[in-house]
Amino acid sequence: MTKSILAAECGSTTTTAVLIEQVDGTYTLRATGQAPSTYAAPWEDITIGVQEAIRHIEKHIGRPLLAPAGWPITPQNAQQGVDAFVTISSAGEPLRVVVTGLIQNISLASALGAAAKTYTQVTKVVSLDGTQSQEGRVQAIQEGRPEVILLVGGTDGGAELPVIELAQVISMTIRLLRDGELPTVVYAGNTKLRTDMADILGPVLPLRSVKNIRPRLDVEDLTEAQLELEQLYLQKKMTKLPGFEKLSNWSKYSVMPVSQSFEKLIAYLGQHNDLNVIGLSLGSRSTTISAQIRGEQPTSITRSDAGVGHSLASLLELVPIEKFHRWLPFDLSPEELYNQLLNKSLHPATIPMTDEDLMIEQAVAREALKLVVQSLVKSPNPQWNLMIGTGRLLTGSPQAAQAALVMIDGIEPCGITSLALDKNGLVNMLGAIAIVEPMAAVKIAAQEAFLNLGTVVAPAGHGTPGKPALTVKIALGEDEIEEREVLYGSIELIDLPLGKKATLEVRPTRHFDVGLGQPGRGAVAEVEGGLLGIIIDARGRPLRLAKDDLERQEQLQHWLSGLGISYATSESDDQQQ
Amino acid sequence: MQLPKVTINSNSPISIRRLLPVPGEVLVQTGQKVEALTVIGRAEMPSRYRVIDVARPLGQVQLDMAEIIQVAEGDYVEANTVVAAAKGNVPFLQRSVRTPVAGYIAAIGPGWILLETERAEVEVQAFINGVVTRVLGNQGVIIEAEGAMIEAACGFGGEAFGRLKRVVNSPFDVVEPGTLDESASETIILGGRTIDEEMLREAEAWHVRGIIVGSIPASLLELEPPTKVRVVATEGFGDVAMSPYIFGILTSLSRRDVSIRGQSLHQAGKPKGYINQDGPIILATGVPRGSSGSYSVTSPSTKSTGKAEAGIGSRVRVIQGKMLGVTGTIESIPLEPQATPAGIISPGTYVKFNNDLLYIPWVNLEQVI
Repeated sequence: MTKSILAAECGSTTTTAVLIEQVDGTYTLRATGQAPSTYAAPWEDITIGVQEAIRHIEKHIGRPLLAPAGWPITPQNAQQGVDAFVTISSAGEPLRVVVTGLIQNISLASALGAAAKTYTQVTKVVSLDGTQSQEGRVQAIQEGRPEVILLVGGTDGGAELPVIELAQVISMTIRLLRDGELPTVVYAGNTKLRTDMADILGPVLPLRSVKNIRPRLDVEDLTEAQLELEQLYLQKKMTKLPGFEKLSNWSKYSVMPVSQSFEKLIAYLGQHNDLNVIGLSLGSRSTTISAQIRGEQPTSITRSDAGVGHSLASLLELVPIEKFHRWLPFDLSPEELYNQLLNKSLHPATIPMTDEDLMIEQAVAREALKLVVQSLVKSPNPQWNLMIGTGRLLTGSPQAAQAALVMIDGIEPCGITSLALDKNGLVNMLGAIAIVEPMAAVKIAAQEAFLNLGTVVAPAGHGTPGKPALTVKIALGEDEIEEREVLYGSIELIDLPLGKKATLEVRPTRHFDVGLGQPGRGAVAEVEGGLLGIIIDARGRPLRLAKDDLERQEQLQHWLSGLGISYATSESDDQQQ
Repeated sequence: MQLPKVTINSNSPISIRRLLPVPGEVLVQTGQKVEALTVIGRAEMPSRYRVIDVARPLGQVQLDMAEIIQVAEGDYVEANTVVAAAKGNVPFLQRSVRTPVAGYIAAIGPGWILLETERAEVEVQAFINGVVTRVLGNQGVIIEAEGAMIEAACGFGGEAFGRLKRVVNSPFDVVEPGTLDESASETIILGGRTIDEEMLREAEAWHVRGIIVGSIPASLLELEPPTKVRVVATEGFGDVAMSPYIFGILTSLSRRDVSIRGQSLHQAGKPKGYINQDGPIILATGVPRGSSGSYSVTSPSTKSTGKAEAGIGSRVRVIQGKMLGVTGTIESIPLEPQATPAGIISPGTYVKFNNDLLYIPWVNLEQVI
């Protein structure tokens, strides 16, 4: 049995290490350590950051974990080392993918879904159903500078000639690429054409044929294409990180992409507890949202163009500046906001110095989450029982309520949802730890991984501002009962400390639905307390922000104060002076 | 503590790599002295293609291309040239496929020919006065020199070379409309704090080659029509004053030739064909030295990779928030991480800025070398 596990996560900006050990027969988190990630200049060796993070742990526990030559000592003996070392990584650039297919809404939509499973950047989409000329398609593939071309189209036994035509376009273009490594074509189209693909593409570039992602018009099968793209990400990007080979040699376990590890954890939590769980991983280079809905397969989307630091410039191209701007409770022109966000993209590892800087980053996080969740969850938004947040922007929030509000605003959960944060920066690693020792991951997930923020109660619908949206009655026991009427447009806290349980009775007014599919129908639920207690979010769903700047700023200030979030702006500083 | 390094130095060894966008002809030799405007190489870049469908006009699905094709890859063909021909169903009647326009045969595949219809000649200049220390085959050269080097934050327009003309008195000033006259023509102007579109258009009207400022509003990146003036900003986007330290170095370079590159690295990841990956920079080289071979080949295209650690007394620069670009020196390093005014606890250092002593997280600093 593995009694001690050292795990490390190499992120785009930060490297975190954790030590999990069995103490008195129970797995427990002994220590954590953090250091800047070092795959880029001036270090250009990913292992330096890992060693630095591990040294923090060594100092804490007073036991050497690293050999004099720098690698983790395995297995553990009486005085030093650990039984197992495992690493996950999200550092480095995403895989550049050009997606080619026949029809935008069918095979191409599936292909984009497959690409969103791992760290990819879709640089061009080439289809036959648009107005693009053959020359235009050649040019588009060239401009996409693909490392991988995902070729899809044709149901099994369906279209043939158009798919062959696309393959020929790719074959033409490949001959024009003059520099760098040849892209790999992943063929996930009409199975009957595999031999044709081998004939047309095989002689000019590496070709991998996988199961058709759309074997029938009404059937989607992304599994093999996703797996292939994950493998190619590992092979073409992750293994190319400076120092990666050294890092791989430190352990018998393969380095796992963070998104994969995170998805495993969310799936486990959902399946084991029979809950609808959504996990939000906000990274500098990418944002991953994983979900496990009862009775369904786990799903996950990673958007490498929706990170909050390194890929902020891409996010700014996708999301109009006004959308970020609408979340600021203070006066700042959209132009100035845009300038500040571009500066952040020049220096993505920086952290906010002032409350205004912090609120700008949180505005970005809200929109990044909105963008990704739209791709993951089809309307209507399922009722999430548990929402988990990780990533420095959330877990490093000076006030827990700030993180909670970012998660709520980003996802807009309806009904009754528990909120939790990655307490020790190890949530992403649990999926990988489970491969080494499942019991260790289970114990840590159950006891030490999460900071329970509390429960949010959020009815869907809209009412009249100033009029009641719902009445809540919370019973801590027979004698301790609190009843409160909450007005539409507000968000409030009811104190319920960590570890306490209570019975919550919710009676919405006739315009509001607390997740039962019937407006006005009340519900009773057992809820757990948390750091914040119970959040009654009566702002309605979908959230409506006032159009007028001043009115909206007041609205946001009202919401912040509803959750007890204090902040200072340069205006308030000026007034104090 | 190791920090990202930024070179802001009035006398630094400079080594730059000048690459052709595609392999071509290098026109200089190792040891040769070059000037900034010397063309070091040229190449032809394909810029437009036509696909010629061979299968359909010949009425054949299964084609033996070797049998029907009458040109080879790389051939130049005039318009209306027969590129493929096959016997038809009627004896003695031959079907043929002709080029719609002139061009080069770029590729031949099963059933098609790709015709390259336009090529653009691209020349690459030396960018700085210096000595060619290495020829990189048919791809480019390495040029070395010594002089001032300032790694900037962002910019646009590309490269320019010219005499530096200071038109403001302090790094906090902005160039006012009406300040420029004919003497600014063909120069690179040192413009202080920032610049707006009106001033940029005025500079363009006076044929100013380039402008160095502290910051640029992001709106200038999308100007329509685009300006011919190259702009480089030392600090970032917005309205941020130039660092007095940088302004001092640049002032000392007045009336000397400088090379600037206006480019924003945050956009470099965009796939727009052949991208110059090099970052924004300001260079002013001295008298070219002989090929000593003593320089390390560090391209200023990326942040310098020197590994000296930052410690007490090191010069650092803030790269975040309202203090963006402000330089100071490390005064003390606390053992425990402290909180920023926003409440975020992060390891950092106390930095002396003129009369102020402030705690700055390490991640918000870069070391000036």
